[in-house]
Amino acid sequence: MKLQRASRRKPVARRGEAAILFTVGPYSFLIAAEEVDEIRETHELVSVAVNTMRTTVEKIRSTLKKAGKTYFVVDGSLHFQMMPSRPTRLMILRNQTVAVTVDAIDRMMEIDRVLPLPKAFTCIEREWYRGLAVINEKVIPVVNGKTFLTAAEQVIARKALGPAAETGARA
Amino acid sequence: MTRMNESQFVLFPLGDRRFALPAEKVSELARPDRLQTFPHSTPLLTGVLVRRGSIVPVCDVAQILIGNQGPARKFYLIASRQYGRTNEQVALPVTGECELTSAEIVAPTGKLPDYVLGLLTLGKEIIEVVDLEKIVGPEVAA
Repeated sequence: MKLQRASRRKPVARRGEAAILFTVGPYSFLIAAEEVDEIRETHELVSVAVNTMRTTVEKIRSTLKKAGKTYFVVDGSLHFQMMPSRPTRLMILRNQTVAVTVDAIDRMMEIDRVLPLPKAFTCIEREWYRGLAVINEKVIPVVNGKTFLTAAEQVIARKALGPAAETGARA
Repeated sequence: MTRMNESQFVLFPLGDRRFALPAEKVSELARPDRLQTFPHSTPLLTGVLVRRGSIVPVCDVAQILIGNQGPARKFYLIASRQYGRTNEQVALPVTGECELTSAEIVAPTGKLPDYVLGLLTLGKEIIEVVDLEKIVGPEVAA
């Protein structure tokens, strides 16, 4: 009898996981609370849109200076390839120099299960999302905070922004 | 002409035309349900349904089979699609009631798309039997 290796699956279900519900445009998303360091308003952002326009990191619209570090600020609507929205909140991600602008932070909640994204989805959304949660019969994608800006994109961003990351006009 | 043994098929309507799936691929015909959407880039997928605690992707195959201008879809045909060694349910929006029939499938001839598994002859009607694995997948162009 031929033994077959059991298929390896990423452990997507973390019972009772604290998560933050936020919106970008007409859609709701969830992100694990442990992936978010801080939430603040957007008025401290420095615009770098001119530098990133027509590059592969066009979704970086601004930067944020915090504790001596420069954070790349990703526009949530551009990241998810949506129509531009009106962001009012900034999520600063943990263990990264990356932040994301979103329209609103709804609330903290606990999610019981993160269901795998169906295999029928084959494109970039498989990188965006860890999986899907069903909250009161509503399907909400659970985003992977590490994929808002990959390491390669950060390298491209530093090259594109150069000194502009320090001296760009206020957003 | 090559003929295979008679088998069971589910006929489903898309506008004025009917297509078929092998009956073993079909689990149910569902009434209109709440289609839920979120950002994604996969062609043909229009959203998902929640059915009995599971998330079922909705794949609008009519765009491939009859073109973008098809009539309103009224039901969801829940079928199974194989991905490697696993099966996953997929919902196909259809424009009317479906029918179970037994017929002999004839191997496709001529210049038919790859997703045509074979042909059924029912009276004067020629019905294409669709291969879901070829029509619902990354190789299908938008």
